[in-house]
Amino acid sequence: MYMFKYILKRIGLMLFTFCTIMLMCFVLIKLLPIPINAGLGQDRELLEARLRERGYYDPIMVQLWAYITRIFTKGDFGIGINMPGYANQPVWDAFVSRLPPTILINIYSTIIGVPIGLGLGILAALKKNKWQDQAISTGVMVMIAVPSIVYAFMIQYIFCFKLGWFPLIMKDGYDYLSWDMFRSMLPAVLSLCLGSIAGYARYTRAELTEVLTGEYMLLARTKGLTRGQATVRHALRNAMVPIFPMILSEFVGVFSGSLIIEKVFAIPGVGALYLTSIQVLDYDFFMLLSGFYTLIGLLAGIIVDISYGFIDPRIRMGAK
Amino acid sequence: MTKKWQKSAMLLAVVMLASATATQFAGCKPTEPEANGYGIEKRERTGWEDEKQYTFNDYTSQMPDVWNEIFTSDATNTSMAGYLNSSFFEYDYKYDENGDIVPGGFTVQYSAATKLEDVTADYVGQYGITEEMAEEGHHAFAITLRNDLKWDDGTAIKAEDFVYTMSQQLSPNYLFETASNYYSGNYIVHNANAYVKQGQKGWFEARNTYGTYTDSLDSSLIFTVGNTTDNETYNGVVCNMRTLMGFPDSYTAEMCASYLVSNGCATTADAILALQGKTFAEIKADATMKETWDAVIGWWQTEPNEELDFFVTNYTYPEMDFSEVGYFVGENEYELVLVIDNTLSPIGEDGSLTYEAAYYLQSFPLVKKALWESLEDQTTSPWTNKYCSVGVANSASWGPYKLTNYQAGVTYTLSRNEKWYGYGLTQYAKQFQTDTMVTRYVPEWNTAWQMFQKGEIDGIGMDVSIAADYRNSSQAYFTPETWTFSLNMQSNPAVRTAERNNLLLKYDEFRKAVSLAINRDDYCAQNSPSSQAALGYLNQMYYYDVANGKIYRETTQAKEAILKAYGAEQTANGWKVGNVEYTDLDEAVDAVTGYNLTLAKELMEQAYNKAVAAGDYAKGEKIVLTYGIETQTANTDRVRDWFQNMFNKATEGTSLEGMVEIKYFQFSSATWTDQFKNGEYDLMFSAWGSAAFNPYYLFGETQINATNRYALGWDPSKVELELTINGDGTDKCPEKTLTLNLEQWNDCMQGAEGAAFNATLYPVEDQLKILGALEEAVLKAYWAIPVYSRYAASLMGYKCDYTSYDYNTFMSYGGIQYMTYHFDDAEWAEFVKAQGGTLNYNFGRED
Repeated sequence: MYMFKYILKRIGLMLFTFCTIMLMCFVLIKLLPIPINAGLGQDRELLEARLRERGYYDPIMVQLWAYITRIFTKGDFGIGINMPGYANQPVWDAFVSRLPPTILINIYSTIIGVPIGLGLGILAALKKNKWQDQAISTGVMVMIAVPSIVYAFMIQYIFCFKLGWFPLIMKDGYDYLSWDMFRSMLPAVLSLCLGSIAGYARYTRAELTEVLTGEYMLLARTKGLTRGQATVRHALRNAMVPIFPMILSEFVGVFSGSLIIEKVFAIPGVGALYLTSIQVLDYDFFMLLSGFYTLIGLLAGIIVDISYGFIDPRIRMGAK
Repeated sequence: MTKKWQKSAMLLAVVMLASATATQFAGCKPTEPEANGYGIEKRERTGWEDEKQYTFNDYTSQMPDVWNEIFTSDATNTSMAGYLNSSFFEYDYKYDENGDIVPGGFTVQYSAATKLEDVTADYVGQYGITEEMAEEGHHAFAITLRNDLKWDDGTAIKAEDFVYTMSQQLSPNYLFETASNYYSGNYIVHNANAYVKQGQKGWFEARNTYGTYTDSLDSSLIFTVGNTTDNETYNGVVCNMRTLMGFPDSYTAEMCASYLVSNGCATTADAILALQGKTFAEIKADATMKETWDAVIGWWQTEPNEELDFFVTNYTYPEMDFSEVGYFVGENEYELVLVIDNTLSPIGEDGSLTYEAAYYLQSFPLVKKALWESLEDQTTSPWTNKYCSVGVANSASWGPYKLTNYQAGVTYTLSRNEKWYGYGLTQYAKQFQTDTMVTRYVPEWNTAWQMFQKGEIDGIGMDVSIAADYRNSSQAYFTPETWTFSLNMQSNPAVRTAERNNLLLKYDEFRKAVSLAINRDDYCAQNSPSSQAALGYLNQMYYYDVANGKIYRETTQAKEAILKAYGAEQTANGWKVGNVEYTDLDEAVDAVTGYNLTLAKELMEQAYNKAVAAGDYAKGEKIVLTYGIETQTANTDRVRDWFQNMFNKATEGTSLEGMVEIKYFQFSSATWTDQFKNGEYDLMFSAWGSAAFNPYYLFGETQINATNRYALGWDPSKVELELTINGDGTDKCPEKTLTLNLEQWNDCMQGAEGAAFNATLYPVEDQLKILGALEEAVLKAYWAIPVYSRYAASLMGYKCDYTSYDYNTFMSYGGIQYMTYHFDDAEWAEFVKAQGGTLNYNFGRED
């Protein structure tokens, strides 16, 4: 019951926060100059008339009401104006059409990155201060220090261009679950997951190392458990308490995309949309994407918090 | 021992990893070019009749989103749309008696049309055509369409389809921004403006709305010099004067009034502000206000109707039927008639087509009515339409290719449109050999470059990173462009802070020093290797006499403008550039570089002294100049660093040494010009181009007219110029010597209504004289400094070839139409495989 109330409270707060952020975004973006760039021979009066029809010159609150009404009555998030490649198209359709590649690549990256990262972290913790640990830690440091764009170019050059194992760019078409599509996504997936692997490995090593030195581990061994049994049954489970939410939050982030990786491998994902919408002052795109990412961020926070209760029975959310 | 072994193993592993990486990177080096290339046998062009499959694989860094000219004039979209549409009239190569292409030559031929007639006399009394206009001709044209025009599904196309499309193009329900192409571009379709704006009600600037001033308008005219923020009452509308003066949005009414007074308007700012919000009738009725008004208009007016420039008006454009627009079906169902308010000369005296036919009347928008109406959304305001966007199902073609695949943000494919009338015509024999064009969206150039080397795409733009290695490749070609890039400067005292002081930019000496400190050749070599240094605003691409291939830059007037602007002295025998005297004009021009570091330093010191004396600069103060960019990239960093280095050199040994610092300012692509005009940043690289056949228009509109001029730190109407115009000795074009300001000279050059005289009626030598003098004057203002003219450098894959590597202004390199293939698709795959999957493009030209 405590948990249920807690969740309801969090959702209520989330909606309040979401509405506040969206209101701020809307008002602030409407305070920016109206995007008119009349080129040579263009009729500025006509451009203004067009924007006037779209309500750009109405008072901001009138625009806000019209925006909300449009969304709730027609599901209309607006039409792209300046967004390259999506002018004159419904922003919702454009956004949704670009989600699948981003989600898939991030899911693949998580699926590959989590076991490898955890495995390396566990190995490093179990072999603490031995050469295996040092080798893994060195690799992890390199992977963390080098930006993903460097991996992207190296992977593309070595595996795609020189060795020809993968295509240089993501395959076209909508067969997202085909083998050919998966193969074409792999360079991007690898580029993305190297950083995650390093993060998981480092975190797991740190947590597990600490847990392994706990007194209850000594007790477990004195009870007669083997090292492996003690590690799996006690150490790993306890170490997972902070690690699992990290995995979860990263998984929720699969919607966010990566600007650089998507650009290098020509992936039609959402990574570049948000930044571009700000650069070109495409207000409808900006509002939709702001809303989406705000929601994702808030949801991730709630899910991560709630997950603590499921992973560790000692944690009771909302309990007094 | 064990630990030692482990350390050694780790060391070995690191060394192996490093050497493996080094080996891989050693592989990055392009292999040494072989003298004989791949020995590819070049094949004759076979054209559309060839049954083998030829695919041209391309890439784009920006996907087209709408591919019909009714929506957009954007280059990415129109280049795709061009394959889906046909031309009424088109350029073609000119051949000599041996069948060889005449360099620079062109012909104009019919394509989707079969006849073009001047029918002005047939419409006297209609569409605004008077007897006088009928006598003059050139106002109404009948275009007879081929009777076998079809959509890609076989549906016939007739003149009424074009008329329907124009009714949508100009529809007040859609308010397409491209509508203005038909009333504010090169020709003015009768009533197009009034039709598209019908029903619009609210506040408008009075000059555009009424055009002609009469007393009867007085009570509906409201005086305002205010801006959008001050005047929410007028819904953001500002008066025409503000636009003409180029005042940015941030200028308040107070700033405008002060500006007018400080520039010679014989009244006070308070008196001008007292007129705000008053009707013209109220102003005339009040003696004090009338006195102020007289001072204002006395200062401003040089032409009739300029009273309207200070007013806005609440107006409703009257309803209008499309039948009143000068675009309709003529005497038969294949005849399309166009009536324009200005004149064009697309038909020569011998009845042949002139270059204007293919330039101005090449095509008109066309939509497939049933499809258009099915995709129309009338619930939005303005209406929207998904025609020729989103996907294949929304597309229709009447050109040589049709859309067969489109995935937003990924790829599109154009395939041969078998229903096109051209396949089968002898004039298209051995042309259009390409069956399919596949274009992939590849935003990252490095990725595209690797695809190109693997034979996955057939052409690529040359990035600066490979230019030095590949510019002499046998597959390299260079396309001159009309765009000349200038460094624009702005000095806004309002933005002076402890961290930013750009006031030195307002000193002529400082800006001139900047101009002289720019080593243009070095700039090109470091930042844009395929481009050419530019000293003038109009490059070699601008023709003043198209039919005879005469280029403005090659005229005496243009050359003398450069010499005078960059400090050459005219002597009895010729021109003195630096310490060398040249008797030959061309040699003198060639000797001008615009680079003189010694003089630049002197001018820097002079600017410093003046600025210190005027209190605009304090000794030791940092001069932070903001350089506008949209996104920071390696290229912008290189350019910024180049200019930083340039400033360092120019100030070395002067009182400003080490004081100038360039910082980025990130602008929005949607508002960058306004942001510059508002003074939000100080330095901007920008270019004007296109309109290659009308240098007078492009120059006047972009360098003098404040609407398009970027640098607003100066006022061309305050710079006077005395010129003697020789005329042709007739009463119509008599000799005259006039002293006019630059704006007035520009009006004369454009033949504007109310100008001192119409220079377009004068001999071309006089027109060139004005243009040359204006260019010199603008160069000497040093607010916009030409730096380079862009050449697009590209590499063409081995699979195919252009028909000619001599660039032709009218035909470029022949494009897809004349492309020839050395491999079909299957052969190409085999060839690439045989070369190990990677091709070397570093073979030099055999010639």
